Amino acid sequence: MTTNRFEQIPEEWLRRREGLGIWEGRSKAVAVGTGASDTSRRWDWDPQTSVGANAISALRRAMDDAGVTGDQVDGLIVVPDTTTGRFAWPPAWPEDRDVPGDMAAAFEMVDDPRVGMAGLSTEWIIKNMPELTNVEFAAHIPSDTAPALIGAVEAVVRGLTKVCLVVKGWHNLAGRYYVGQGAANGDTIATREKWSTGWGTVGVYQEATRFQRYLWKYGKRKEMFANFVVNSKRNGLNFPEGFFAQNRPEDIVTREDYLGARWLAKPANLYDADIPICAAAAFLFTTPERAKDMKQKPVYVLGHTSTQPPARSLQHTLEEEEAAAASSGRKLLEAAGISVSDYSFENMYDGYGMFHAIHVEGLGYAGIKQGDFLDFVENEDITNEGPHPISPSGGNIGSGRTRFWLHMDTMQQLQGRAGARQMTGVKPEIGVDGANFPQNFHGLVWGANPD
Amino acid sequence: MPKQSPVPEDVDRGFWEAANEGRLVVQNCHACDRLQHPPMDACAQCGSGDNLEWSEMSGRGTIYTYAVMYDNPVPLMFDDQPFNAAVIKLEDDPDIMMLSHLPGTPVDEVPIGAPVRLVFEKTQATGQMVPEWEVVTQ
Ligand SMILES: [Zn+2]
Repeated sequence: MTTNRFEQIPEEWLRRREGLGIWEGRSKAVAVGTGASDTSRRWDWDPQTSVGANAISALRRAMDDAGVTGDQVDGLIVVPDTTTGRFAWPPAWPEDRDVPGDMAAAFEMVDDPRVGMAGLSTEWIIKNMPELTNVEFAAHIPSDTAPALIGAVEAVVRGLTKVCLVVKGWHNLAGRYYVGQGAANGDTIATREKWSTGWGTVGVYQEATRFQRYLWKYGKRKEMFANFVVNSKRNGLNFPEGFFAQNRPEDIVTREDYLGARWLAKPANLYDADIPICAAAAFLFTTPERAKDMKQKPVYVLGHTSTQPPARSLQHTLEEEEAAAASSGRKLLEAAGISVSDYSFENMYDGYGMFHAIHVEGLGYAGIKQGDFLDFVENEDITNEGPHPISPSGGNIGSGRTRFWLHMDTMQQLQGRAGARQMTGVKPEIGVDGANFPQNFHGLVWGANPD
Repeated sequence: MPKQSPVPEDVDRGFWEAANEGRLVVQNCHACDRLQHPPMDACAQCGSGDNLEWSEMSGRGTIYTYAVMYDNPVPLMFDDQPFNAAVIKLEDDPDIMMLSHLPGTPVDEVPIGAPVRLVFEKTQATGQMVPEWEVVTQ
């Protein structure tokens, strides 16, 4: 097996520019199955809950979901990165056990000792999933689920694979993200972080400043965001694959909870951010022809786009973020050859919640224009029972930091099997999703039908 | 308030040396006539490092936006939480932004859009001076 280890998706696969017209691959690739591992807050050091084990679990569930056996899979795309944190390696192992030894006893490990515990690779997956006997196309696509899905879709459209699995995992080890880590420690600071961490700003800070500017620019109030968070939390509790539904089903968040939450970087509070968790998800893509004898209804990929403008200076401004979102919005419509009123729902990224507003305004979904989002979520029915569902997956806010619930929900909604989340106020025919920040974005348009 | 002392490196040494002399400089590509900050090894527009120079700024700016840090990552600043962390746009080129704690401005009473002027603060570990900004009161 030759593994294509892309450092990035081949540039010619991406659709970055406006004016490219309808995507030539439109409806030539479909998603059929999806599966998620069980979730947990932090790794308990048990090999069976490692990111590797979770990835295997998700892959097997996605195959079962589609009604596909391992020998029928000929493509595998793995996102090698499984953290957003800044943890040192090796971590502080628990004193009473030999975690690497336990892993080596439970799995076939590879040269890089992190893989399976704090990273993934095609090699590790194939070694530990003996049922994958016919993988001819295998690739690493860095960072996130969204670009990996685009990679899979393009690989199917380009004939490199007929049945392609995509897997993304997240590990969360003990310790706090950012705080007292790396550059933040000590009384001196080097590297580029001196310009940001040097002023005590990291993580949610940049988005908080853009949101502050947004509130000022459009004359809105932070409180107007509450209903969005409450709705996302509610959708999350209706997502059986998600962290809160599995681990904290009593964790209902009210408007009062939101308004009284602890500040992180005001105007961002605890509920505007997501919590890091352990989880993995897999998706199975194929051709429309091959999907005919699979178990689930195919979901057609109608278009995709990528938008990653660099910041002009220290950080992206609100205006740069808005321009990026608007460009993505136009490109997605253009690629799919649809108009904005064709969207039945939107599942744009939300971790941090605040830029969900920018994403939706960029799309123009439900007639929401720049500066309108807060009025919309405060005054309209944004639930999955209403005419314009907002973030029906509940996203990262609803189910923990993965950046993949949105894609899973889009599929399930269009297949009519989203359970308690299934939208009832609108017939789900075309959905749009993507991650992560508007200025670092990969997005897709999905249809229940090819047309 | 206390800050970590920035350690000058090749790419930004000119900035920190100027700060110790009470001057604010920003990297300029004279081929492109374009300022950039934070400093980089090459011009982000033309890709060349051959035409980079340090250009002195007036020290005037405006507050573009801010947040109040309640949960900052730097242990040295824990005792000062919550504190303002503002984004300043320079009058010489509003595309260029720097951070500030806005000394003298009470927490969460930050006037977006207000003019600010440059001051320098000494950091404790090495004595390195760093630029800060104060709201200009009428
Ligand atoms: Zn230049």
